[in-house]
Amino acid sequence: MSQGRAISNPLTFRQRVTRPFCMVDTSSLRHLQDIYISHKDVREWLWVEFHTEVSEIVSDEISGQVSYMGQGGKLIRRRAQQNTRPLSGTIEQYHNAFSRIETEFKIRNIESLGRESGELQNFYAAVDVIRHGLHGHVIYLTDDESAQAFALDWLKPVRIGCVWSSHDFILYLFIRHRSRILADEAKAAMRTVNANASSGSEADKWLRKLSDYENRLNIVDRLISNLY
Amino acid sequence: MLSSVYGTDWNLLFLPEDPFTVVPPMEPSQAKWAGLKKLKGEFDGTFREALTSSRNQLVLNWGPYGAGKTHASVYFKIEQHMPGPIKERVAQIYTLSTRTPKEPGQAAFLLYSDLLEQLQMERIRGRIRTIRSEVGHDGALEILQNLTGSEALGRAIWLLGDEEQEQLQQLLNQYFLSGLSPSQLPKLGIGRSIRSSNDRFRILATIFQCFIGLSQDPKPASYNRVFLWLDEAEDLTLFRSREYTPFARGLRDLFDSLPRFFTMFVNFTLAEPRMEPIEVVLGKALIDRVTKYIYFEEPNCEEGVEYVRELLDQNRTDKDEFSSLGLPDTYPFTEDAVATLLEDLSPRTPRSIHSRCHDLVMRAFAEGLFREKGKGIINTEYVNSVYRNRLDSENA
Repeated sequence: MSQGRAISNPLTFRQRVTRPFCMVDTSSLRHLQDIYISHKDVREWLWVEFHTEVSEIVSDEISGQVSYMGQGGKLIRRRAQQNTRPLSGTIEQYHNAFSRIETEFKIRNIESLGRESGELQNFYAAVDVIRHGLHGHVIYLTDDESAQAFALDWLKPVRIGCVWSSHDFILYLFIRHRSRILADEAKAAMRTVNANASSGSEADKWLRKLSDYENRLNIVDRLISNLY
Repeated sequence: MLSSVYGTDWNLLFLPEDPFTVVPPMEPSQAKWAGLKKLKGEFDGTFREALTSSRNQLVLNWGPYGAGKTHASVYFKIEQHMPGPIKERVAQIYTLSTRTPKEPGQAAFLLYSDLLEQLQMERIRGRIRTIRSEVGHDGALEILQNLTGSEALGRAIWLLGDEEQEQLQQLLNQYFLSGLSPSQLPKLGIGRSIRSSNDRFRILATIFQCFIGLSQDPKPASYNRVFLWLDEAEDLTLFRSREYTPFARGLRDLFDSLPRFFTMFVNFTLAEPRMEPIEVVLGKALIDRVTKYIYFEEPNCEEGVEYVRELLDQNRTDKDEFSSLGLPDTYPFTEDAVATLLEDLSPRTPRSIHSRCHDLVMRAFAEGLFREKGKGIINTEYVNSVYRNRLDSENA
């Protein structure tokens, strides 16, 4: 799938300084479905706020799962196809490079994710983007817990950015557009993300998560109220 | 599990069957309340108020998994388990219990149809007929239309009280439980179908009100009380906001529509003893209406021993023979053995107590400790040997 391709489309200086780079995976795009903030599909905000791309495997996954992407699924497919980031080498090269490393950090084995996972290829592509100087910071957006753990481990030595969940993205939108987004609107969005991510089970676990993020949202709300 | 030549005969322990089941009984008359006196006191106080005053109650029961919330909803389903005898009390009680629907997209419909089926259409017809005879046909129609806030829905409920016309009543069953096609509606003379979650909660509130009664007399004896148990409310976490909002609003409106002689128990499982997550899920509007919080606290070791003793005592068979043998109340355990068994148990909930007691008794059966009636006992040494062996094998 990944045959070494040249890095293309360098961004303008303005784009580089104003918009972080975001690698989003299929799980987050599914969990953010059917949420509208300021009359816009919340996933569209990914492309408004960030320079958002997907790896080739994620792009293929989205194409195969349009019917599970809710309303606006076709638009998301188009966005993903238009913003697919190829790896600069073959995927085997990346697998080999990452697998051979043994450091003081407890770095997770790539096999735990599956060698063909979109989350893994997203991470490799994110490393590429930084190495080639195309962006200054990566937001690795995924709701897959294994992928989050894998990325968090690797981000200890490989300081290219941060890991976000879909909950974090809603929180970001709220602080970014607090003047346009009501706290209740953001809380409703958070509830839906939480329900979508839960797949209808483990209420206790998702309750703790929802409660934690609603608490964070209240803090942001109070903070910004105090600032202005 | 040990394979053994020895059988499992609970009669040898003066017990009809295993009392340490980990799922609540289905049948309220078979449910027993053991120990947990403080918790029982909280419920007794709530029921005393419910039976003797008009105040509506929203009771939030919360606690960890296996703490006994669902058991309480089964146990208190029948009047014999409520405190009594009480003078100046409501005439009758109606207890309904349901769980938070597992299909959020149809939550209001599932809750509504479950409750109507528990009430039974025939019984609902009987109540409407009584009201029509008490206040007159026209008066009843007006009242029902006011209660539902809808001419069509009020009329549909009123029609349930029409004297037996089988075809009409079949159509009405269909209207309320599954819906009628637009071409069928004129046959009933009803302007519209049941459309929304809001409609369903209004119908429920009106029917509940009919069961409570429409008397103007201030005495509780002139009314009935409706108890509604909603179990597994933590599952509202799994509702998307578009599913959650109408459902939570419906519950709130249901409570607000029944200002007298209505009690709603909401069971909420939460491992941690903080309230904040509950408010996040139920919403501030509903939390503000809570009239009583009942926390299902884990019993301490002493309370745990008392719980086991009472549970065994309530299940004991051949009591005279049992007394003559001088066995402890905690038989098939010595009291010290129960204390040792529960000492390090975490969480020490009724479910985990049942589970640990069951495991140990089954092991003792398998090892041939109980071969004759009333002979053999689980003592502290036995408990220690089992748990030391288990620890040794875990560490090996």
